[in-house]
Amino acid sequence: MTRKDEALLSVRHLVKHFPIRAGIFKRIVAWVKAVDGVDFDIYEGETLGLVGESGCGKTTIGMTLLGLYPPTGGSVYFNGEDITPYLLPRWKVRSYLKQTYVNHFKKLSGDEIEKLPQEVRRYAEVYFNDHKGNTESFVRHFTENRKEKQKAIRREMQIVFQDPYSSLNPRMRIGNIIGEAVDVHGLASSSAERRRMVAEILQKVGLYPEYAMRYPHEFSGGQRQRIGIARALILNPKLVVADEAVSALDVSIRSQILNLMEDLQREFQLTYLFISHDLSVIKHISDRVAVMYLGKIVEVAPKKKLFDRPLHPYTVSLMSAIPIPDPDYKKRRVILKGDVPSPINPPSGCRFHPRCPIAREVCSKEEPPLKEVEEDRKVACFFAGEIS
Amino acid sequence: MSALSEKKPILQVKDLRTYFYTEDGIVKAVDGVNFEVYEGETLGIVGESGCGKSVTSLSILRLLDEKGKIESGQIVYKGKNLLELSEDEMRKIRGNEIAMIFQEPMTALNPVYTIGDQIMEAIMLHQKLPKDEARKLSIEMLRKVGIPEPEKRVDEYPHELSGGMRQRAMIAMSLSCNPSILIADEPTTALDVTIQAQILELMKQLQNEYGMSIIMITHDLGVIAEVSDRVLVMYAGKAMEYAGVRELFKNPKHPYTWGLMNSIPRLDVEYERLNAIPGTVPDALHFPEGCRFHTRCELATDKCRVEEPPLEEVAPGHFSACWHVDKLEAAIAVQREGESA
Amino acid sequence: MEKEYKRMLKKFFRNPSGVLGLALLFFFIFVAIFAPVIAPPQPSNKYEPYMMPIVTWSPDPQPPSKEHPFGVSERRDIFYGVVWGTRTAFRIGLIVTGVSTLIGLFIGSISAYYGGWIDEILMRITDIFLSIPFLIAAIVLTTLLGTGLDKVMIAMIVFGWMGTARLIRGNILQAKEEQYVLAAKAIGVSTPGIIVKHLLPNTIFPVLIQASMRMGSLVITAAILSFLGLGAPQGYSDWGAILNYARNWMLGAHGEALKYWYTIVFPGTAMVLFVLAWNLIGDTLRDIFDPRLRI
Repeated sequence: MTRKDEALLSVRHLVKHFPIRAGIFKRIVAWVKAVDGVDFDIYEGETLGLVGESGCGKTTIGMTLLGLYPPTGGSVYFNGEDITPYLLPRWKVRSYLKQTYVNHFKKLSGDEIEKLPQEVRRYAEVYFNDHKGNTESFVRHFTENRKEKQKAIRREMQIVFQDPYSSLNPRMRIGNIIGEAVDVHGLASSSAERRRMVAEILQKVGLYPEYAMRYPHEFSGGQRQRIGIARALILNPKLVVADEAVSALDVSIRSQILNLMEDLQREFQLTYLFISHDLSVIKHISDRVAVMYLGKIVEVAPKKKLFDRPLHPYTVSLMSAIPIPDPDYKKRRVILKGDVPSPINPPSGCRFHPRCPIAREVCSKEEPPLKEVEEDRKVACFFAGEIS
Repeated sequence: MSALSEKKPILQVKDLRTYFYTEDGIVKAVDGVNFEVYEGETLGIVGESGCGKSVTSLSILRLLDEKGKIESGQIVYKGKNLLELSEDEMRKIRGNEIAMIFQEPMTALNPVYTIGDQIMEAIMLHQKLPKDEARKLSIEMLRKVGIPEPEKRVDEYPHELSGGMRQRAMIAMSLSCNPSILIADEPTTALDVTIQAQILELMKQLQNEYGMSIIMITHDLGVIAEVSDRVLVMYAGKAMEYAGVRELFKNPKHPYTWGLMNSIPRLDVEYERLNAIPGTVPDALHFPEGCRFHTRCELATDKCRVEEPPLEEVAPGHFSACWHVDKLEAAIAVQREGESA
Repeated sequence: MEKEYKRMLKKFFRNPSGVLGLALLFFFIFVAIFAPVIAPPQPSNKYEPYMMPIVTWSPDPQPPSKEHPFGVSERRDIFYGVVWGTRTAFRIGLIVTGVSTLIGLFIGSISAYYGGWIDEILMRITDIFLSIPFLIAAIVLTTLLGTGLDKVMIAMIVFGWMGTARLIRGNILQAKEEQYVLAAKAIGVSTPGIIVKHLLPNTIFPVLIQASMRMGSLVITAAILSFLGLGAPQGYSDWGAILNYARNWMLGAHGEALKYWYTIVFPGTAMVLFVLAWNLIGDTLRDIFDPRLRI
């Protein structure tokens, strides 16, 4: 794990709500609060595991980071640069910049600006020094060359999808599925070069270059997932979001793909955001783990600390729920009562309190903040560590 | 087989072969499988996709589609060969004596009827109870499977319930006629782990209460370890290994079982690198000659490529279909030494 | 995929109705191509070969004879009209189906891909077009534009794209959720690129099947309009127009109901077989591609 001080990707107060429409006029009747204020950092070269049950918002986070859904609120910084304007539709960029930066900067004194978080302070300098406090010029800084900048972000961040069957276009040859990215970004000067690039990446993911001429239905699930990985890696990205990348695979194939992803991480110095519902996979591949529940991160810690001593009661019960392939393994089970509540009307206070074995009165009234309890370790619970 | 053999087998499957006749050729989905289910016990059938575990269970209930045909074999339930029964007699067995629950309860429940209607239908059909008593029993069953406010839920439609609740309702439905055998085909695969834990706990508790036998079909060795008494490991339509659960996990005697166990990252063990089984699961139309696992087996020799190993008793009550059990034992011993060192 | 195509072809030729449809279609194509050989235009007619030659001055129809194998109707040779009418039928079918399918594809895919307000507006426009009874609309439009085959074709295009639009919209809405579309977006493929390269190839087959079915029925619609006198001008080789001539003779002569049978039977048979050919082909294609029938 090569860790630098500055994060490769920082997510701040990320919010993604999906409208539910009904009636003839398609009025919005409710919001699904899929992601509701999430903060985390990913450092270069590491693997951050994002674990949680279905509907907790983990996939939505991945999609939002890739710009596949525009965020409802919050900011995303990549290499210290705010990329949110490129994830948002163009007409929202202005109001985003005003709300996030300009309105604050205007109110704050110089000292107060000094105290702002580093990523925001950086833009204070840009605003006051480069643009002399001119809002229009500052906005233009983010709207100029929008297409090129969006493309540049796409090259840095890529995604591997869950379903090896639906993620490859059945009517395209493997060579074109992988080579499409080369075409879009103009990476090859000739078709021979494109062929060479495709052949090279196919070999890297453990397939034969001849496969480029074949169609997806000729391959098994594991091979298809290798093709999906090749498609993501041909752009030579820094960050790869793996969204349940091994969940649909058979057990014996899953370990091959996990090993491959680890090898590729070393070879290409990749940073992974590894999204999964499977704690044992997360434990194997991650350096740090973030646990999500109903649109919030409840605990984030280095892997060893988290698995040795989970502090949040949800993490504890999640871990104890996993069946261990050893009939003699005796464990204390914390079986949760009830179902995951709906993200349309999440419970008040701490979202976990209706199912929590140690919930007290305060939990239903106040929302516990995600705060640092030890070095490198944050938990959102008033009574962190009371059960383990 | 000491402790196990004292019990009586309630179901015996002998040399079952189920083939599918497709346009591209014959798929030998199940190709000569033997096992027994004992009273009050859970048999786990584990294997990867396409190994034939689901087809085995559908064959027991004779629920195959028109392309599937049971070629040969016997399925003996309480002394009767199910394959020789008429469709009418079979209908009395299904649901009443042998019930089944599926991976996705939403597809197994009819969306246009309430949960109560569907449970009542089964009760009225098999137990010939009047409607009001059937309703009372349905509510009772829903309470038993831990559905809160069963009086209200009985009138709800399947889509109004969550995935976990639907699976509970499905279990209530299948247990309402007090079957002797419950076949559970990946009952928790579509559920979250915390809900899976609830359902597995519920099934164990209901098994104690009703004393039924369970056939648990899953790809998850963790689930197998948790609920089964005996385990059948399947690969490419064949039984690879068959043993008591503790014996299987402690002393696996087939390279496939051993490979499977090695390839799962365990929560309680730290790994540098996972031991993957190389290669891919063979295509059902072209299973390899000889031992079907030989293409992926590190211990395979020329013999494995030509001659198919029979499922033989290699230790008391422990069956394995491998020519090289001794080589495997040596390999396991070496690996365990390395781990403990 | 080559293998896939071969399999489809094999399936097609194993289906007797598909083979029959294809045979009929080839027959019509043959007739259309060799029309000048089968029914050579008279020298006076060389520059307007589509006009059926006037062969007699008697206003009564004449039964089939050696010179006029299909008989004579309204002074014109029916055989000549039926042969050259095949070209007209193909022209109407191909142009109308082609253009209306393209319009439908365009509107349907834009609607489905962008969704939201664009979808809402486009689909309401589609609804409006669908709610107008086609014949009335076509009659109104041809009165506005004037009569003629081209005007009829315009009317049929204007009121013929909605089915395709709805079908492709539904298909794309489904395909849009596929992960390969998300993957293409993540790579940075542009919106037209995603529609053309990823969505259409996976959704277009039902549309093509529908189009082939429509090809036949369009010829009937055109015939109805011609029959109503809105379509082809007097004397033009068009099956509908020939039927139009038969209007006065349809009921036969007094006491001889079937006296003028040839004025209807020959152009009518041509039309029925043409429609049948396309429908058989469409049916066979649907059987092959319909996922519900395919395992």
